[in-house]
Amino acid sequence: MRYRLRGVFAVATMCALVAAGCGSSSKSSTATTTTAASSNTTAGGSGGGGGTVRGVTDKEIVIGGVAEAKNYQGIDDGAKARFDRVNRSGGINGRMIKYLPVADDGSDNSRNLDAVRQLVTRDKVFALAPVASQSFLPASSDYLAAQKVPFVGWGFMPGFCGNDFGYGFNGCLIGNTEIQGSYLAPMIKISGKAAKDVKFAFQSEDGDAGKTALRDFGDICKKEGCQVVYTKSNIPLNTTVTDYTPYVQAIMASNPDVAYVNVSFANALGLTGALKAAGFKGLMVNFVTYAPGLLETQPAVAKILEGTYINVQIPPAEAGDAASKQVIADLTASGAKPFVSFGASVGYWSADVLVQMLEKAGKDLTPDTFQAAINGGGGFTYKPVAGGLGPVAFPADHTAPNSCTSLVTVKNGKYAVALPMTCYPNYKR
Amino acid sequence: MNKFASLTISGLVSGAIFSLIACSLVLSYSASGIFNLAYGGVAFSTAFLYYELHDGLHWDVWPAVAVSVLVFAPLLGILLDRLVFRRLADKDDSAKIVAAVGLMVALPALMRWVVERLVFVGKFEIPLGNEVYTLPGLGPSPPKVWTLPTGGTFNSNQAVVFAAAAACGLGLWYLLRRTSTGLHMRAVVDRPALASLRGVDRDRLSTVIWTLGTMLAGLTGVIALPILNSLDQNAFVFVTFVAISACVFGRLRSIPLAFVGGLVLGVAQNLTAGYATFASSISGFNSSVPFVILLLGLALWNRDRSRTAGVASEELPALGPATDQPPWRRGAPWAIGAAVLFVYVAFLADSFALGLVANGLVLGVIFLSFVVVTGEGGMVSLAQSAFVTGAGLTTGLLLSHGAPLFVAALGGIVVATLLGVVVALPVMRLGRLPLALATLGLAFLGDRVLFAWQYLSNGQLGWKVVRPHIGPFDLAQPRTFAFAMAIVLGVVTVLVRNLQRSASGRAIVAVRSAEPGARMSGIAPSRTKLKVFMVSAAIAGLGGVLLAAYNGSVTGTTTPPITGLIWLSTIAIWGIRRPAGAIMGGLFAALFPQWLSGGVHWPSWVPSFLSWNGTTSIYLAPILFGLGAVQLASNPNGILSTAHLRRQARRAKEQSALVASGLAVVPVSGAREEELLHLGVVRNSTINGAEPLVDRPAPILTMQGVHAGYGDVEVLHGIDLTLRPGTTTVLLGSNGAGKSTLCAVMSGLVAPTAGHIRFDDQDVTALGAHERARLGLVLAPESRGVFPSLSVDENLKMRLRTAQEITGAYDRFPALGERRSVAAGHLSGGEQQMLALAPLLIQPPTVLIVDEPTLGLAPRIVGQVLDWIEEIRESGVAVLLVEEKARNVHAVADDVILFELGRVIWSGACDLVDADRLVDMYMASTGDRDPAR
Repeated sequence: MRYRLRGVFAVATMCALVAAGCGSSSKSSTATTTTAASSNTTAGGSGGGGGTVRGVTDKEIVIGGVAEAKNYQGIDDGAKARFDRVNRSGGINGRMIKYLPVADDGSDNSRNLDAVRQLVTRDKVFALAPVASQSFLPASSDYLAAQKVPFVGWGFMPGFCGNDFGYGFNGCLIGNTEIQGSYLAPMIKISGKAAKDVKFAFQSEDGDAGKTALRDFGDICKKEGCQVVYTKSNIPLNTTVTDYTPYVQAIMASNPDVAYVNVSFANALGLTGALKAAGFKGLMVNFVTYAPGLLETQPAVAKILEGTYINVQIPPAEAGDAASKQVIADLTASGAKPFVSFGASVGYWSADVLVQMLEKAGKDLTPDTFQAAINGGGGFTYKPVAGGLGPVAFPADHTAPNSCTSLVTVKNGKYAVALPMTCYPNYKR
Repeated sequence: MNKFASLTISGLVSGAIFSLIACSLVLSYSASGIFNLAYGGVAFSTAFLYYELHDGLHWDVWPAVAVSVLVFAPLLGILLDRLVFRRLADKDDSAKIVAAVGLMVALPALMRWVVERLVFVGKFEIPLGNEVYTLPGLGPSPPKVWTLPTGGTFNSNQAVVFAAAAACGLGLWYLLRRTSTGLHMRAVVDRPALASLRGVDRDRLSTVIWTLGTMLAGLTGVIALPILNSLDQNAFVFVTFVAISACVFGRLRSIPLAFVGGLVLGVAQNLTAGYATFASSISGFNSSVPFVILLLGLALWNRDRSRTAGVASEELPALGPATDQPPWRRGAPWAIGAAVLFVYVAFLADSFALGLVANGLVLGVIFLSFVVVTGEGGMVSLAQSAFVTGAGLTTGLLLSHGAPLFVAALGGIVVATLLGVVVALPVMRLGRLPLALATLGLAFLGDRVLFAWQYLSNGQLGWKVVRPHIGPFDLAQPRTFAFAMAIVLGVVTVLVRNLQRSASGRAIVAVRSAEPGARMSGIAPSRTKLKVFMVSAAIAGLGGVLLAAYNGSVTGTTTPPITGLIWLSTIAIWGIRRPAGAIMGGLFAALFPQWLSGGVHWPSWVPSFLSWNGTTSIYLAPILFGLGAVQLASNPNGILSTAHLRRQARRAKEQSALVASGLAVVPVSGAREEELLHLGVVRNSTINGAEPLVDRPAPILTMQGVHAGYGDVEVLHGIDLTLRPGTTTVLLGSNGAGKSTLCAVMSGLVAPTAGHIRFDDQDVTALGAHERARLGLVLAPESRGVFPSLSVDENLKMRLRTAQEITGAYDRFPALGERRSVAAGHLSGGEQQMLALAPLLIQPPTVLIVDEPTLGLAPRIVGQVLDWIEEIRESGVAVLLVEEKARNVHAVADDVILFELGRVIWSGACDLVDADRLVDMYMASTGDRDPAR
């Protein structure tokens, strides 16, 4: 007995591990989940004639999502609110939406891939919405395309670009055919000057994305005639910056009208705070510090951000227009707090785009008919609500952004809309 | 000019955070030998608690700081000391690094998990702590801002950090260099057992160090909050990694230099950001400054001086293959495991599970690279993730240029191997910890610069790697792919096992355990190490290609350096020295998180308590994983070796039971005594205390029926002896008789399994070495009782408390006085013995046990040493002189004890021994004597 301990232990553990993998299934799996034996089909339920379609029955469509929950709190509430409204009004073509809670990848790349694979093979989802994660790498999006699973989300990852199954709710944000028209136009408008009189300072982080953005900013200024007095992507990436002096000094020395702080949240706060402390008098703008709820709980943050601008790609609830009223009504109706967090917005608008797509795809719903309805023929154009998302259109926006943004500012410690959701024409690269 | 000045000044201020971290890292390293990579985890945990108290429960700043830094952090320190660090003290470096990494991951996850449970289950109205950006530090909020005369600003938060860093740096330097506690800390690191013998309570010291260490980490966490602008554990972990460069500045030993190093780092970062315009085209250049400094620092670093003192490897030998089992028995687990896997993959698994298994097998290949470099080679490499990414990206790049898959894969492996050479060349001559840190720095450099290079990585898009058809097999099919991975893993496993058993494998182990010895056997250590790195990198590269194939694509960010750390810990949990550990670790890493989140569901006949519904928390996996890494503190060989160790122990027990029952061949003392009498070596036995009563002082130390040994091997089989004040007793025994064990038992380093030791009318059997030393029972151990890294002066101070006593020692031994600031390791053998005995001459103990003091000394010096011992005896000390050679005995001995194979065979007055015949006997006994005779 004792002799065998090691071997028995190893084998037993291995059995337990594989059995766990084999025997486990998501809590939320439904009657549509059949036995494991169906695993031999490559593109599970690709809608071939006669067979069952993955995630679709006469009564139900199964939808899942994947996100870094930590950075998108409330994302489930938002998506669920939108799908609940569909279900209250009788579903889409008689089918109710069965929405599975988003799988949290914990910002872990391999966990994201596992979650996506599980949603497809075990939970048998028809489509994914929302998708919002930095760990949604090509491994995950390529897999979804191979399995013919449409996915809707915030298009800042490469999977939303050049992928027929990837649908960004504001298009593909990192494609290489067009430059977002919304990068500089709102700030030129706010400055109250003619474009050629606006002096921009661009600061980004020391990485690929930052460098590309600054090149695009520069190209826009070449076209619009605005002046670039400073452009550097040299703030260390993925590490801790303890001193912003070098950047502040250089930006101050260039004496710009607008300092564009194109960096991550922590650095945006740090740099903005340091610029203010040094007495910077120009306008400041970034992409990231819009987080409803943040200013109230963290007054120090509010103080730093007071008077600065944020270029926001989702419809801000502070606008108080039809779109934001609808979001709040839907949240309330589905039992969530009537509070539109950033995550809830991302969830809601991803779901909204998918709902319109499903409506267009019609009664005969398979991945193939869905793709044909959205990407084929005359394509698909999202019908906006006043103050809501812009009219994202496919197949065009598989490779281009739709460049609709609003400009939010911080006034008296609260977010306020400086420019409502507006769509700007893109620039050709 | 103003720009330069203000960048420099603000760099000095902002570098203080690195100084603060570096100083406490150096403290814990120089005081405990453990480089605390968990520092960031502790700092985060304390800061997180502070945040919950301040923002969640709306406490004021100061009470919140007091509870988190002055109550929570020290308690955490005591807990970690008891559970982890104390037990790690005598483990090898890889166990120390892995356990620290485990804590680094587990502590923040644990804090977040507790809060998450409180919020979701307990319905407490506290924040989860996500999306938290600025918090008040200890300074005013909002911070006061000052403008420098040179231009530029700094604020009160930075000032607080600077002041704290300066105070801590100064305080710690004072503690370590100027107080007896600090001296004791350094002595423990240098020679732990000797420190105990000199009266140092190692357990108490360990508690002090870790309590202080966690308090400093906690303080750092809280005051760094407004600087880091983040309550993300990674920010705390990264700032710790950056601060490592500052530690290297002080060669991990010097607190003032580490402090300066932190400031230099701050300045270097600022100047690079301000002036390095040439670097703007190189992605990641600015982010790499600390790691470049780290590598430069290590490259300029010569070996640390404690190694020059000729310290042999103190590492436990690797467990060999289980040769005590028949081959079928050893092969059985492998066969059963392979069969289970085959049946599962072929018939049972669905495509999701097939993916998990394939992923696990791929990780198994990657983990085998750790078996080679760390398990076999003894070098802790944290750069394996770079080899994986490098190979994957190269393969993708070649594929995108139309290369056939096998050419591309080969190219990837070749590039990984070259990266292995690049990593190995600068780090080979470093000690183990610097080597680990250097590989970490290189991994970050690869991540920041090489893999950010657009040409190689294709930006965020990365490269597609499409799985091919091979003949009739379509690897795009999950089942086929899983089988293919199993075959590849099997082949690599066989190759690694063959390597372990080949001449190269023996050379690797030789270099690992005794480099000078290996060199004398004609092995070139640097070439062997280079080979190890190359083989390991090639295997990791193969793993990288397979991982890219599994993922269907590869990007520069797929496996960041932190993943490499987690991998190391995962395999270490299972056993880093055996291929089976890599395979189990790989499958575990792929399947376990799924198990946790998806739950375990069995058929209905299995009792329901074996089921598990899964958790949505992302924190449980890192917590369990971290705790797994921490358990290495008790078993550095990993889970898989547990049964093996148990079996070894049982064998040993059976063996010693045989000995005890008299079935084994051990001479019985009575018989030996008669033999000795017959040979005329001794006259008139006085064994068993039947000694004629003469006018002699009462015994000061008595041993009665003492049995002792190591593990289950008994070495001492019932020892009785007595020592008397002012008497020198010489204990004679041949090599392997158990003399050193006897010394260890008398001094308290080894606890007896039976019997009693009385000292000065007190039963001291249960007392530890430091307690006995304080009572006056002192052992001068074999091979010089000095601390090689401490100076002569500091060595004396370990025993001599007053300046007067130390002056006395220098007066008595002017040779030492001339070299008082020289490290003891640099003294000659005779001088070292002088240094070991000098404090005992100045301040004599009650009982002195001297273990082979003349070993390896020149004859002229031998006489001198014996004179010193005689001088100590004259001051009334009971001296036990343990010797192997019978010569010289008559010159000093009053009593003689003859010792053989763990028993006293004769004891009595010296004049009852015939010296010449004794010498003859000992000459004979070193030959082949049949113990059964």
